Amino acid sequence: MGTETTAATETPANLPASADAILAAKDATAGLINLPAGVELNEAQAQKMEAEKSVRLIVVAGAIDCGKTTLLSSIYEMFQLGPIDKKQFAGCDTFPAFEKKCHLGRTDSGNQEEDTVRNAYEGPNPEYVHLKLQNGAKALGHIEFLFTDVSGEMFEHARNSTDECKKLEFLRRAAHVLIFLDCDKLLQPTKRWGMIKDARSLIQSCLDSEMLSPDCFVTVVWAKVDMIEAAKGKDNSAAKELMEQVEHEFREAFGDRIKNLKFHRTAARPNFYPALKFGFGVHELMDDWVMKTLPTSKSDGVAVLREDAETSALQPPTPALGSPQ
Amino acid sequence: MKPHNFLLIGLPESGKTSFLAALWYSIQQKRVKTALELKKLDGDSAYLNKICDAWASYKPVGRNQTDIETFVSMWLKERGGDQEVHLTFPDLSGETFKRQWAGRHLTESYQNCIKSADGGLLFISPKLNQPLRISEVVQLSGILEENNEEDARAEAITPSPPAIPWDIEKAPTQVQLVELLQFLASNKYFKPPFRLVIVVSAWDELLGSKLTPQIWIEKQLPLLSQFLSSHTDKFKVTFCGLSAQGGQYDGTESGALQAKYPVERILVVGDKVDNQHDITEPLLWLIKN
Repeated sequence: MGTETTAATETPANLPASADAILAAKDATAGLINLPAGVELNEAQAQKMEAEKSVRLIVVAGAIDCGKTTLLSSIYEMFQLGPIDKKQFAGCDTFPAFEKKCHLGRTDSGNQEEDTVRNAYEGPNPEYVHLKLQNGAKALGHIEFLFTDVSGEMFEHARNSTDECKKLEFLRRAAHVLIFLDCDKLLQPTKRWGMIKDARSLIQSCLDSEMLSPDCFVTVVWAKVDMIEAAKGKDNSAAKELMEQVEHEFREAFGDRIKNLKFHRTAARPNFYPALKFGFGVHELMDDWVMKTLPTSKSDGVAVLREDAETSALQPPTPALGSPQ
Repeated sequence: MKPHNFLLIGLPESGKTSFLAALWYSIQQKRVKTALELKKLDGDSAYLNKICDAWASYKPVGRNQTDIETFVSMWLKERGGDQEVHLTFPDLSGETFKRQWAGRHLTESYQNCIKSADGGLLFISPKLNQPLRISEVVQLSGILEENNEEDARAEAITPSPPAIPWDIEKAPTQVQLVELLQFLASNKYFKPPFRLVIVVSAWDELLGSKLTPQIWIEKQLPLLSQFLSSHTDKFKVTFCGLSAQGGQYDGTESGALQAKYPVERILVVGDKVDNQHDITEPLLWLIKN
């Protein structure tokens, strides 16, 4: 974060050398220095940051209203309650952006139910939010993350056309790509098959347009799993069975093209099944982001676990549904 | 003798001016031995005397005005020692800091203060803004358990429009404080490691918690606590609880408060504090570390 002097007024004298008890009193509005706005970073700002320092780019992809922004907001909110496991908050260049995203989930909004600010689609112009973490109590080095914060429409276009997909340059730079599957839709017979097909088409389009690095970690995220847990009897068991089938089909379809493919279940805001607790599944995602990075990444001075045959056994397991963290 | 320039950092009503008022009184009296004492008067002390008179009269010292930045200077010496200390503080209004967060700018004069600062005191009022997540409130009130799932689902699908738009000024206190420290640390004149005393003001109100100031910060402001512990290269920190007033002036304890010698109503709590009435101890830590 830099500062920029914009006012044309004379710089006031440095702290006076004389020992007057009141050394100076001046109009503070005379000379103002701009501070970073703290809003979402645009593509150019994100690329500049990536060029200047080691940054891990996490792409959060999925359809409209599938929980992408809710996941990001929840991570931010979790750090406001304390470290996430041993990962400590070490900074944020987009505080106001996060604060605005969290507003509709807080009582200050006047809402009765939690909601999330929707990202409007304004063409393939991604925006990013930033977080800096420290892994462990001792300062072994900070890890900087940029998260894409883009509308579901952008990914709709990308799944419909490889040409559109190729416009999503950030995919090439991603250390981790999360593809969201919406459990709310999984429970709705008229929406489930379309939702699954759309996610599959998005992965297919990313691969066929050669936008994913071969070493990229792709995680298919079942979001809003609290809805599955809250479903009763046959709905619950049928949904879980379908989830396993989908995972099997995705592995069959993409397993040979995506070296690091895994599945994960989250309920960032488990209002339908509070026993899962706020941020369910977030801990394991963050473990992945901290421990696994692209072999081509610039060193950030942090001990890194590269995902390969020897290390895959160290992966944290996907939390079992019904097992609160 | 090296002069010391310390920043007084804090959001509005966080206790900065009360600290200065109590300090000015303390270093001019002999009854309670303070680590630092006044060596000599020098120049115009009108502002310090004004806030000090209010403090000694058990009256609110008043808040510094938004657009006035007052620089305060003191010549002190270590009691029983030879070391002389020339301290200057910019008594900036809390609004100056609020504007950094909400208006996204700082004043050139504050930037010049950073340029010459050897350390600082970050004042935090126990009256925190800590927004609650809606689900926390719902769970606490047990409303969720009473609703059936279908009702909850229907409500979640069609949320009511927000009655109140987002207001940057209502962001959590800890977020605003971390941003102030980020701005400080990223300033071109910032010199790490920057010695910083984290001062929790109105500590008399928190005595019932039985917590140390550091633990109180960890529990109440975990984001700030994480930020400080992950930036030990930038900030060398100590924590203290401070009550410059000693209690509420208009409460039931006001009589007992007025019966005390003014300096003996000051309360300073912290790991390295020897005399709990000595408001100069945090400054001594800044000077010696």
